[in-house]
Amino acid sequence: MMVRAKPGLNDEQGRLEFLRDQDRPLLVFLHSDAVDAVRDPDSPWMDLKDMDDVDLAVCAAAWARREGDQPPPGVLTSSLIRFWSAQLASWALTDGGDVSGPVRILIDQPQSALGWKEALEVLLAAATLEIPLDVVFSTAAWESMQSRTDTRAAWRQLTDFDLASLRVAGGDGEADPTGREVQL
Amino acid sequence: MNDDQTLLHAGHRIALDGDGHLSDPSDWSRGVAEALAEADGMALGPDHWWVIDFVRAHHQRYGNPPLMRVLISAFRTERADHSLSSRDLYRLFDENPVRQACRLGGYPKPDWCI
Repeated sequence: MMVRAKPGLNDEQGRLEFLRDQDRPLLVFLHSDAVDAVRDPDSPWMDLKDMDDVDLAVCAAAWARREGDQPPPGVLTSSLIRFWSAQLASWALTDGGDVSGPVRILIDQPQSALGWKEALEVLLAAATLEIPLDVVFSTAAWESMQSRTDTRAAWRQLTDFDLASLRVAGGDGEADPTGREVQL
Repeated sequence: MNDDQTLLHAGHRIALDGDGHLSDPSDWSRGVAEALAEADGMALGPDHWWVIDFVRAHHQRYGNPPLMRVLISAFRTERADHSLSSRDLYRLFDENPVRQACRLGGYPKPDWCI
């Protein structure tokens, strides 16, 4: 499981309860602003480091951009490639084989410049392992990304090299809930 | 003479960062690339230069180096040879083709973990 949201933005206790019921072993990979959670000993995510068969890891690059020191004991540093490799291994076990269709990634909120960069890195790491990707933007997220010249240029590599398809979600009542395919 | 943090080229001392990349990308020239390669014991041929130029163009267009799969695909197209693989790129750059091409192309070490 990958967590990207800044600490405190989501129902972390609820998600922790969900994780407690999941099959083990389990990798919880903190990426982007979520890495800030490991600086807070009271963060719900820090409970994971003491659980059996659970690895709590931070993305090495996201951590280095924000901190630079070693993360606290019990928290691993890992990479996006390792995360997706673990995800592929999990799919192979639970779904009996390879990825059957595109993995859908929903981007429902506008991001900061760093947030867009790191979201792109998530996708590029998956593309490195040839995981097919459908990226679905909310209208607000799509407009935000379009308004950033550097971000738009960087994201264009996804479609220029057929690394992912990009879609903008439709509004209520639209026939196709995955929206329409778009180009940058 | 070079030390770990400096490249001497055409009478100028060019600063390198801790990873051996140019501290200032504007110091880059094809001569600097040749000097960096020579310091690594490499002689750059046409295929090396094609890779370096591709990585530089990608960096300029998108702001990051290409994925290895993108580089391989473009190399196959360029050479009209679909049997080419990552092995062929590793024969040119034996540590990490994209990372070495960034270094020789004057770009910093990628700060991501891909």
